[in-house]
Amino acid sequence: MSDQQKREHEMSSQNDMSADAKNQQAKLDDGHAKRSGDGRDTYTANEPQNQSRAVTSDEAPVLELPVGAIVLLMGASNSGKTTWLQQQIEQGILQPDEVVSSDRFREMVSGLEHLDWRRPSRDESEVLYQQYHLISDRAFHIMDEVVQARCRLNQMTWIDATHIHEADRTKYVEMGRRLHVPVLIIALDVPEKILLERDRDRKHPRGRDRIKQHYRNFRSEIHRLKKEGFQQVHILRPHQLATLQMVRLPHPLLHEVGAGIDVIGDIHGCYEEMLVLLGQLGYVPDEAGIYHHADGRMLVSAGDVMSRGPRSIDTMRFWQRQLAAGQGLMVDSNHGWKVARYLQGRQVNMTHGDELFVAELQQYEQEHGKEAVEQLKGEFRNMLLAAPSHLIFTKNGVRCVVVTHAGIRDHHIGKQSNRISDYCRYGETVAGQHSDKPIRTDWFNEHQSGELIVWGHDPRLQPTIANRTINIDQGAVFGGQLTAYRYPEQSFVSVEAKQDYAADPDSPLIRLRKRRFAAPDLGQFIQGYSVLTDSYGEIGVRAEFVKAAIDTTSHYTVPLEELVYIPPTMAPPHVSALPDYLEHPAEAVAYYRSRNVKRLVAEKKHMGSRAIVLLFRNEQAALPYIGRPLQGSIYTRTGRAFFQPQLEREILERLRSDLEQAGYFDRYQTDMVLLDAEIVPWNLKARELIASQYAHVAEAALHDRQTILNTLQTAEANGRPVQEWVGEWTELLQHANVFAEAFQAYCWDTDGMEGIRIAPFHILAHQNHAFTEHEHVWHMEHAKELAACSDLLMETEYKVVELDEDSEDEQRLIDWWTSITEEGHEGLVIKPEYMTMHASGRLVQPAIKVRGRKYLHIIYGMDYLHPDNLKRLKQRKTRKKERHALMEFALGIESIERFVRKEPLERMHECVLAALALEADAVDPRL
Amino acid sequence: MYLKIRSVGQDAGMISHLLAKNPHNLYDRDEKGARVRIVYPVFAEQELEVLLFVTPDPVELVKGTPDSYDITQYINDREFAVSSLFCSYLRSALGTALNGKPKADYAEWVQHPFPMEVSFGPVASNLPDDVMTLLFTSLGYDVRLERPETSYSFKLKERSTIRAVHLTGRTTLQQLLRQLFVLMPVLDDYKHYYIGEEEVEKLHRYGEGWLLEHPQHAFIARRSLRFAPLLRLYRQGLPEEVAQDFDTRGRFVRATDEDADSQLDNGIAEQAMNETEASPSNLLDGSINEIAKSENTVESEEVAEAASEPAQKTAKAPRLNELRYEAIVACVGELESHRRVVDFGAGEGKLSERLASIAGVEQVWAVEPSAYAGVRALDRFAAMEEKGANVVPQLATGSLFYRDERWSRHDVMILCEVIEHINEARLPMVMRTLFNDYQPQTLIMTTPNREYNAIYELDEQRMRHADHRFEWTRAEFQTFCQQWSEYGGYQVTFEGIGERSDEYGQPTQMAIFQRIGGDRG
Repeated sequence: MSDQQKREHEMSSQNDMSADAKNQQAKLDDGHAKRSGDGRDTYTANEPQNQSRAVTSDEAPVLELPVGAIVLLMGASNSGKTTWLQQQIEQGILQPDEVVSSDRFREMVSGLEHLDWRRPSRDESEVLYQQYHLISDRAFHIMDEVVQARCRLNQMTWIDATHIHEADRTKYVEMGRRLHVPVLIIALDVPEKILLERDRDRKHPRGRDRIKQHYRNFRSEIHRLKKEGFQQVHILRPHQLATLQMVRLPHPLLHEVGAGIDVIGDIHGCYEEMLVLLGQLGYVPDEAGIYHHADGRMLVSAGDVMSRGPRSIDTMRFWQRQLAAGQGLMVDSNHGWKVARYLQGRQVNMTHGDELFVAELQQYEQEHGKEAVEQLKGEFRNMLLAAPSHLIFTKNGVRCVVVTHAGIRDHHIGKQSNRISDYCRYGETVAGQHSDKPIRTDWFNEHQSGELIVWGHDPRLQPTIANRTINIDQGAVFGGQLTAYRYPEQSFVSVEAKQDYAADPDSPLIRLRKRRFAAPDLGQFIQGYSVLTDSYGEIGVRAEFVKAAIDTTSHYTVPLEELVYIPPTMAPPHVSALPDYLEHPAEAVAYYRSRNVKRLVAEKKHMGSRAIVLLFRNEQAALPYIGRPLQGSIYTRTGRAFFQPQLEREILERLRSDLEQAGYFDRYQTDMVLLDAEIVPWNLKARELIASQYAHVAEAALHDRQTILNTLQTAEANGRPVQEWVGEWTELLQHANVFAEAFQAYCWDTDGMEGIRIAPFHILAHQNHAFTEHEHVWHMEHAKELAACSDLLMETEYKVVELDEDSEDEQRLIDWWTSITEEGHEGLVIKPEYMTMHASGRLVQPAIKVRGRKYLHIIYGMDYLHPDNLKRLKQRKTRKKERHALMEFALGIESIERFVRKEPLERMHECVLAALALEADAVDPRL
Repeated sequence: MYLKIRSVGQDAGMISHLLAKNPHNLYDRDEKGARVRIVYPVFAEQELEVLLFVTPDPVELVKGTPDSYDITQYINDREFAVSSLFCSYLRSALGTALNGKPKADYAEWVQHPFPMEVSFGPVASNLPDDVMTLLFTSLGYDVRLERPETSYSFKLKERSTIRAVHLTGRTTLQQLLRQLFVLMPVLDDYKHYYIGEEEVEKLHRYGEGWLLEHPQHAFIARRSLRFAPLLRLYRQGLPEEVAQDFDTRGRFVRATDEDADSQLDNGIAEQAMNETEASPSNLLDGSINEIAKSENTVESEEVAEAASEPAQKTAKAPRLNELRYEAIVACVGELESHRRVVDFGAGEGKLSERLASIAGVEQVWAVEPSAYAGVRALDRFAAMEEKGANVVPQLATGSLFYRDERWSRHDVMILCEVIEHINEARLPMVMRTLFNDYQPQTLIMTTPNREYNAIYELDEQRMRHADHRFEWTRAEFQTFCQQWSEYGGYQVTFEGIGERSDEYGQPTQMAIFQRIGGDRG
């Protein structure tokens, strides 16, 4: 007997068993059939035969199969379910994994193919029945787990069991509803006569009584199917089953990225702004008024194209035509859904700006008549009702971008259901107040499945990236901007709104501006996140480093609103080609030449501690920037207060009054100055480190080498052959002396403000201006001007280096570097002409530090120049340092720009925190 | 790193045979990447001086060490300081002498005590002079410690942090070397990250004939082996009566858990205060250093005891912590709703643990920004889980300077000794987040009462903890609390915790904020 026949012969299921068993039990008890004890109709005699015909179609049936679905086969024992499914698999219409059968699972858990519990002895029957019941229970449990898993993965699953009892079907209807997949049923309506014939031929016949009972059950149940919540119900006679055509529907939400997409945020009837935006994106109308992009890009709307704003009808007509012409896509949205139902004639409360659309319709009707308006309404209605909850764009078959209106959960992506539609229209609306697990209502914090989710609905002041989600609703209708997100470019194009159309005094944008200084949302950061910077693009930071950075900002730094900029780390040059140098200016110059930079600025590097100086003209001037009165703030490169509070107050006050007296604030019409500076002497901040490391090691080396040298000299005097050793140790002692002198050169005593000097080298910002694009010469000259205003400030020596073929500037630079470093100076910082520069679209290192030969003793040890040591040190790896330098620089200038634009604290802080997180990611600190 | 041995007198020259090194030749070998050299600057029948010195490879030395991400990695005293490394480099050169196995002709000199003058250095040690001296005087040496002169162009340090040791005494060469091989690593500061079991065997071997009688035996063993399992192993190899004596004199397990914790707290606060700009050591490394630092602190206290100096008492009464926990637990227990509790700034989770055991508490969130403290809290909670606790707190990374919807609308929120660690300027934003965004039914806050510092005899300017940004009087605290309570419609009551003084009140003050109107809409 073939496997197939076998399966057919032994086909059974838990439920017919239990029903049968109960009936049998009843017979044993009473000697005649009756209702089973659980109140459920197990069968009804004499079900009118013709009733089933009412739900049976005689046409050649076509079955349309969605991508993910549960398909139940229903039919009495011997109705041919398994055989038919096997044929579908053999013909390649269904995949083997798409079919699950209760028999197979029973076999899997127990090895039992069939169990006939009918015995003359009631005791035995009872035991066997219970045993069978237990096996069936386990088998179904596992099978249902498999079905659920497949539903979660949006797969199609055919279930081969009798399904002749309502509860066995409705549990799948419920499962489908819960997991957002449609549930279909195909009932095989096979005449009783055939069923009985087939049973007689089986190896283990089920017996006449059971077949008859199955049949009665089947007949009594099929008329209910339409009411049980199936997406499709098919009741098929054997000849129909034979001719059944199955069509797999394409995924309704999938589209190719193709030449690119431009997703447009909430338009809300801002038609003029939309046309400007389309122009900027490069869309041009054809003769019929349909907009096309020369590259074949696709327009996508994130919904809410109408209401609140001035020209809803024009905007909707635009989209209606684009969609009809296949030149646009649109997702469903809250206003869209409400308007759709209004257009269906439902009772809907047209408020929250929807009343403006109604007024426009009335106006339209007055101008064009009733017929025209009905026509229009019909078109709009159809467009809106057809809008899917979300769209998925694929690249090389991989789902890269999801567009939805208000939000989506990862497990919804790719599925459709009413609940998903609601979620996508409104976002998370219910806070999990009484659940045991704290629920974040910000759905985007939970997004982990990798796709970029582009959404609108909830206006933000800027396009906001959080956790691979991108909000592009910048509240055009509230006087903000209309934003387009371009993919795969991953860039934004924005158009300023011409006015605040909604004129809502409590508009989301106004509320956001009021909450400008609110504590940043931890959830956006804690799992790792990325920042979109103008100069470098997207910069991602990993969770572990973010946590370390949050530890820092929670314990050590100045208040978050004062922390406006974290200075970037600086890369060293590639190692020198010269045999006895580790670093040399030639490599820095070569780097910039290779990046097509024509002019460099070389600045003397002070050996002190990096500091950020934020100074306000008066305490009140700080209000618009940090939300409370403040003199200013001086902090270290890791965000810690640089000075003790009293000294900081004195220094800030001195700076303020010096600049005031010099007329600086008036001259530049600014209430605020932000400086990137070095504060000397070195021991001001580093005394502990110098004492416990540098001085300690110097002392150890001097003692060790002096003692050994003295003893060797005694040995030499006594005639031991140690001349060579004496020479060696004389030199080693000399190294130790150089080392001990090297670090002392950067230290001197200070008393209060006395002895402290601040050397600014970037004038980062004034009120309303960031100077991050300026020339370094400008920065240096401006620093000179500042130094002239205050004794606390000092200028920095610099030289301009022209990189023409015939210029001797490079040699002059090298000579300068050599002479100052031989005197023990730390070295030079070599910068390209402008503070921010790109070459071939990529950011150029904003600075390269070239440290002196002598200075490097305190970094690489007193004997680093020994050829053996130097050879190995030259294998140092600088790639990570260089990458970090670029990313931290980009984050730094991004945060300054956001600070100057007075963006929400959270927006500025995401840059600062990312820079701190990058700093937490260990890079060789000697670089 | 050098060792100089000098002997003057009858037969001093025999020492060269015990060393098995020809006094007329130079010894120059490569040993594990280090250059080991021996020379006799002075050699006569009645006068001998031998210099042993080692130059390790500075680059090799630091490869793969845990400090590799420290900017001062190459600024390393390991290259110079006398340490266990020095001993291991010398081990093979001194094999004959250490084993007492010279050529048969000289075997009789192995047991011969010579007058010895020994110098070695530089020593980098955290032990005070008197303890260093004591370790050698106990063996019958005269000891002189030498500190090099230092002078810097600016105010840096009082005196050098390195020393050289000079010993004089009469002993056999073998005994001398064995003692040095045990005691040099004991003096040295190096933080051992790994000490193997072979160190136990070494201690037994080199300690033979002198260590058991050494009055600081337990201290030496602890400094050498450091870890409890190794110490237990070492104890097994001791004669029973010594082992028992060892138990009473030496603590195998350092102090108590509580002591170690508070030491650690202080250590961390100290780190926060000392954080210098040029030292961007990353967090984890910092933590490792802190562990080492705290062990040192514990040890220096023991050392102080050993040198019979009175241990310094800290200002805080040790039980105050406990009293605070009790007061908070009692307060939470009496609240009408206390199912869900958030312990903000939970640190190592001690309070969270107690909160979880209150009847009716179903959930405790221990929120803490510090990953390091968090690890210790996790250990604590895992132990609770093992013991089968009904409610085990859950740890979450969180910070008062950020908004997190997870902390909205819990029954009880606790800030136990948290606010004084926050700059005053940052408090208004924190309080707005707490009272407006999180809206707990009850918020409990404790903080030191500054007035009470008078009882601790702290002078006006000093605070109880290095990281405290402020300490408030009762009036100050109550004024602030009244102000905050108005942010979100709360009423506030106050209590004190700890021993009461009529004049100054109690050491800790506690504010209990209750949301007006009870159930929220």
